[in-house]
Amino acid sequence: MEVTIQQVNKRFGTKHVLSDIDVNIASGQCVALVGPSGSGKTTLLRLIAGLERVTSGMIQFGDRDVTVLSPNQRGVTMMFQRSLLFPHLNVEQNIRLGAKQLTPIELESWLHRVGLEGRGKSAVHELSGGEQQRASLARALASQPDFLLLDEPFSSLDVPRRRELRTLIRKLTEEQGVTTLLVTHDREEAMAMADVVYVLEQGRIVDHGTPITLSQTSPFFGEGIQIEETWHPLTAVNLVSRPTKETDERVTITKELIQYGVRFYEVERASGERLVLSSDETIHEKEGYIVRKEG
Amino acid sequence: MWRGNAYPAALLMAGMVLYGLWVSISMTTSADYRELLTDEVFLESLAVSSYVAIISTVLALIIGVVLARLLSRTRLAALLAIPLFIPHLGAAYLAILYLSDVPVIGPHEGNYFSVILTYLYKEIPFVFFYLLPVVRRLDSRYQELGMMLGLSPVRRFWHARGVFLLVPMLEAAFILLAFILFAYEIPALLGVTYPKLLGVYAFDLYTQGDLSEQPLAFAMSVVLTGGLFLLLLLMTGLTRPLATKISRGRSE
Amino acid sequence: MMKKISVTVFVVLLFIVPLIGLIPGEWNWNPRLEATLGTTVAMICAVVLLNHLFGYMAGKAIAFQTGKRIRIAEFLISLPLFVPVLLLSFGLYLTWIRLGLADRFFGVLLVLLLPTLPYTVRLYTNGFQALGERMLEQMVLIEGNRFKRWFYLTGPMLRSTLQSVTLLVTVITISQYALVALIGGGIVRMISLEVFPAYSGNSQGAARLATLWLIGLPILFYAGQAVIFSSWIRIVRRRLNGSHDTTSQ
Repeated sequence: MEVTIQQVNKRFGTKHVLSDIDVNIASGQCVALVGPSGSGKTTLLRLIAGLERVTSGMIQFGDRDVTVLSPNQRGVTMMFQRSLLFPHLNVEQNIRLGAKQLTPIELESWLHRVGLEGRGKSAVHELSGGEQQRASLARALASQPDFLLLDEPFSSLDVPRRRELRTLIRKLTEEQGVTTLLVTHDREEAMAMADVVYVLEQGRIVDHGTPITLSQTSPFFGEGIQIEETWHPLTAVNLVSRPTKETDERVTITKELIQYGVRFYEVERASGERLVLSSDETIHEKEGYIVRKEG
Repeated sequence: MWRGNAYPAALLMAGMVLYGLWVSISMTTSADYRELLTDEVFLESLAVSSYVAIISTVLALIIGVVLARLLSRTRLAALLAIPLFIPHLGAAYLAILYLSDVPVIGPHEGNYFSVILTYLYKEIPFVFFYLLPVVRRLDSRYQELGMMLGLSPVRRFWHARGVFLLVPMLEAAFILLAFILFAYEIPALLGVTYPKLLGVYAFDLYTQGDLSEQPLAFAMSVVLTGGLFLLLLLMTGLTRPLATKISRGRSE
Repeated sequence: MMKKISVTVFVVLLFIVPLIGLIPGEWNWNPRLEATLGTTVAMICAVVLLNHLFGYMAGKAIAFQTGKRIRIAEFLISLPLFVPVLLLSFGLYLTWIRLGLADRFFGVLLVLLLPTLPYTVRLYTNGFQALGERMLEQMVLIEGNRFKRWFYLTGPMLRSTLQSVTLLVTVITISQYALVALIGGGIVRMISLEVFPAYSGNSQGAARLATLWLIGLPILFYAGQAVIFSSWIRIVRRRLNGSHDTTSQ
């Protein structure tokens, strides 16, 4: 299902939180919304979910104008920073909450897909943080949403758990054909997971594009690329990594692929040598590649 | 010591309660219990005390929790702290002051309305402050999640708020019930001579009657303490699993 | 907005306005009250102090210890909330006679812990939980000396808990007629023993005067404590400002 956000404005009192937001998400795509805290990204997410009303503008799901519909009429679900599993229910009951029609076989299949086989009767507090988020993913997807909203769902997890959950979300949403919107302050994460990245600052969209265009038009892969004057400093400086001083060279991206939720780039050096880089900082540094993350 | 020590307090409280109970048991024979359980005055007192305690508790709980919901994020909460400064005796005086000439609900009416109103005056703020931290900790995202998962308003309320409030509300109810059932001061000042509430009846029996009535007072002590104790164990047993799941499983 | 206003009106009308009736018409002094007030103030001080002592230790333990034993201790401490204390005091009275505690200040003091200490422990538990174990560990790292730590950090941070405990204990203590009359045998004279007969009698003047004390004492104790606290915190700030730069405002 395609999602269109047109000229959306949101004011709280006299404070403009969002101004003239336009976002397009193609059906089945994963779009990331990146911005520092206070940039309005969570508010935008809540507007899309129907938890807040827009001041002006329109939100369309497919052909449907959902601008004034309540959350339960929109066919959206959300994953939050914390799993928010209902603590008095077990895993199975939590999943069934939004999907009462599930047969025992379907339920077991959901548990299997998120790697929680045989844990259906477990109490919430018996699961680890990563398991809780996976159960919460199963709950979100089992309710058959058209659109899945992710509000920094990785922030409470450690790095390996993050990568694991990212992979799982990409895999399952692709299988189900669910359109996804990720809100995050972590640029690496957005680059790694999304098909298209929107950069939000002070309530405005200041930049957007696919990770590959953003990285080509930014100093991600060497100093040879000029920072244009129109370029937003946030995107230019922070969105991507910087070259090291020793290996100050220009590379061309020849291929982009996503595997296990991590985005890899195949690049060609001036010498003709080809390298595979990932947008995941741990890999750069370990392999001693020409790019490293600053800071 | 840096993690505290609960045993002195536990010893003191349990010691006095259990020792008091033990003395009461040792002062009675089975005949006293038979007499008590066939005593019309006692049974009627139990009935009217239950009526007063249940009505006061239920109303105080409902109004208290609604106010906590409405006022949890406002400065108005401080206003409700003011009745906390008023001792129960002072509240009884307010009832004498304002309700004396009012028909039906005035003091010394068999319907005990003035007693109930006085308890409400004191206990609504009690419930309010007992539940305020719980209400403040309620996570509105559970409510939002329920909405997105398509739960009906009733089920949404239950899963997102009800389960978190249930155990603290039952606790508050139990505290109020036990207190009102056996309190002396307010019903002694505002109540009628017959039927007396349990606290007044027991106290009078113990202090004013002749010594032969004392075993009956001790028997009352044993029966009512035992009864409440069983009820408490039942309640704790039933709510413990839920309380554990919630305190360990909630997302902070 | 309308809802908020109507709730405010409801609260003010039903809970605050009635208090106007408590303002005394005339101030007079009954010399007999002097001894009673002395005993009452002494009793309040003693009960409050013991509550702080036992409650602080127990509340901390319940907030930060885990395991079955502490849960049992917590349950035992809350027992007096759930059982009829007055009825149990019949049995205690007999024992107090044997121990020589009946009709004595100390005997009454012990029994007055029953209706107060369970609440105190709850307040302290909540206070320590709100403070959090991390914060407590942090404070141990910042200031190793236990007394200094308490003076500079723990005390000021637990201020609202300490104040609530004193208030609640004072109000409950002062309101006990039956317990004090029974265990104190009319010899330990507290203000409730003056108030109660005044209310059942017909003298409006006596009743008003008694009520004034009934309500004035908790307020006095609360105000006294507030003064102690604000000067305490002022001293803490002055000392910290002197030694190194802080952002205390």
